[in-house]
This record gives sequence, C-alpha cells and structure tokens, in this order.
Amino acid sequence: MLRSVNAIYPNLQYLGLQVWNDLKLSPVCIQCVRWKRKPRWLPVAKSKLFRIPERPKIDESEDIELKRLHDRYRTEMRSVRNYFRQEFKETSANSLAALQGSKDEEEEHLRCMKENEEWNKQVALLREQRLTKIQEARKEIILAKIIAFEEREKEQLEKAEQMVREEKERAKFYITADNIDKAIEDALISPVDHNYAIDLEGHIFQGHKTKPTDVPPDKLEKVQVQGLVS
Amino acid sequence: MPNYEVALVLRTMSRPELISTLRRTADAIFNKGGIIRKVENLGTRNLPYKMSAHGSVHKQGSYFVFQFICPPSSLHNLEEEYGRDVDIVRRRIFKMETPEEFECTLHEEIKPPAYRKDVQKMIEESKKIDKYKFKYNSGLDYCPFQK
Repeated sequence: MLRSVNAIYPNLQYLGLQVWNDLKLSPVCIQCVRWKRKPRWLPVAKSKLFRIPERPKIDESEDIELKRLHDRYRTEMRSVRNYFRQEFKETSANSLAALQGSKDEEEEHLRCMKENEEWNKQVALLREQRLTKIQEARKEIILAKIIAFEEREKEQLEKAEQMVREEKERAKFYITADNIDKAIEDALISPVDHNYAIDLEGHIFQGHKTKPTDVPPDKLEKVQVQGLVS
Repeated sequence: MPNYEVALVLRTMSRPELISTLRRTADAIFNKGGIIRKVENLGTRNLPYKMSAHGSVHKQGSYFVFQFICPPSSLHNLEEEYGRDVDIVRRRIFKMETPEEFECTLHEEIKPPAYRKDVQKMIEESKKIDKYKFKYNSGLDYCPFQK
C-alpha cells in the first residue's frame, strides 16, 4: 500500500525538518501490507456468492481465423519436428555416416600413433647420443680425478718418505738420556743469541745488546736482497 | 711424532743446581717417550718484569730452549710437571712448524707504481672489461628519439 509521507509524518514541519518542502520532493513511503484486499481464508463475499461472470464473446469469424492459425502452427511444428527426428536418425551412432566417421577417426588415430612412434624413435636416438656423450665426458673427468688422486697420494707418500729419511739422518744427533749431560754442558758453555738489528745500509748487528761501535767496520755483514741494485 | 719446543725461564742458580734442573726437565721428556733434538742456552738476563712463581719474586732468569720430539698426548702432563717444578719460573710448549717458503719481492715493491708488474696487470685487466651497452634494436645507427 502506498501512502504519502505526510500521512505518516504530518507534523514534520513542526519538528523543524523542512527538508521535504525545501527539496520539493514528493517521495512515496512504501508500507508493507500482508494482504492486498482480504486474507486468503475469507470466503467469497455474500454479495458475490451467486454472481455468474459473463462469458467472453468472441467474434465468429475471428474464432475461425484463430483456429486456422493454430492448426497451421501445429502442422508446421510437427513437420519440423519430424524433419529433425529423421535427420538425427541418419546421423546417429548406428548410421552409415557415423560408422564411416568413426572408421576415419580410427584410421587417423592409427596414423597419429605411427607418426608419434617415429618421432619417439628419433628422439630416443638423439637422447642416446647425448647420454653417451655425457657419459664419456664424465668417464674422462673421473679418470682424470683418479689419476690426480693417485699422483697426490704418491706425492704425499714421497714426502712422508723424505721426512722419514731426513729424520733418520738426524737420528745420529739425537740427544738421549745417555748424552744429555754433555749436551747441557755444551749449552751452558756456549750461550746463543738470536737477536740482531739492521741499519739503513743493510748492515747486520748480531746480538741483543751489541752497539754499532762494537763491531769493526771490516767485519760488518750485509743483508742479501735479491735483485736490489745498491 | 711432531716437533715441539719448550721455552723455559729458570730462576738464577749456581751451576750445579742449574745442571741438575736441566737434567730434570730433560728426564721428564725422556720419561714420556720423547727425544731431545737440541738444547739452547739463551743466557741469563734481567726479566722484562717482576715475575712471581712458587711464592717468590724473580727479577732475573736463565733462558733455555729445548727442541724435542714427543707424543702429543703427553704434552699436557709435561707442561703440568714443569709447572710443579720450583726452579722453573715460566714455561711454554710450542709446536715447531717449518717456516713457509717465500720469494723476496722487495726489489719489485720498491719500484714506482707504473713500473710494477702487478699494477700493470691490474691496468690491463681493467681495460679488458667490456661494460654492458644498451642496444636499441631499431636497426638504426643513431637514436631516433630525444635522449
């Protein structure tokens, strides 16, 4: 049911809301009403209980025309339907055309499979070549590594043997419990001094507290520098 | 067995005492299954600072170096034994490593930079680097747009 706003808010103007007047709008308020005229369960009104509505009067010629049109429509529709039915029968799975089509498809599939297999063979050949190449390269690398490892081992062994040989030679001068007394005596007699100093000319002064004046000039040693032109 | 070196600072003693102390330290090595290679006497000197060891302060010490071969497992015991010795002021065991071989390049380093081989090499390397240049791919040898 539609009612105007003024019906619900008749005294908006007194509330100071003159929006509607200012905007000059005439909006409608939509109020929900459950039944438009009367509830469902109400029976026919007493006044309308025995009222018989008048049958619509159709013109006879118009009626004939309508019937004709309707018949025509129905025949046309039937013919179209029959035509489609026929067509479907011809092209359905059991039809000759369909069988032929499926046969073609099968042949096409076989052909495709054949081609695919050929391609696969070619690719397999290429792959095999590539793989053998890689394998050979890896073999070479591994062989080189093995050789290098063996060489290294050999070198290390040689080094160790060299060390053992040197140590054996040195063993003659080892100090053991037998000759320690003599070694101590010798050490006490001859103190060593590893300190030395170098002046700007490259002269070496041995000793911890040696002064430059202590060494006679004809006994001065000089630092040996490779490639240095003095 | 690897080579080791023990540097000792002994308190100042009379000669027989010194000999007996050295003998004791050497015997400690022998008892551990070691062999001495060399005994060096670095002389008796003033210590760089006052050192207190075993309850007495030392201002002078005799420096000794023992080069020896010894199983590594016995090093700790050796060090501890020396630590307990009253006559030893300071002791430290080092592993002896063969010095690295190197070539003296002083004569090369003394030269001015332009004559140094490594500098020349660096300059050449810097020249070699071809930097990335943007390609327009327009088929033209000039830039058709305002740069």
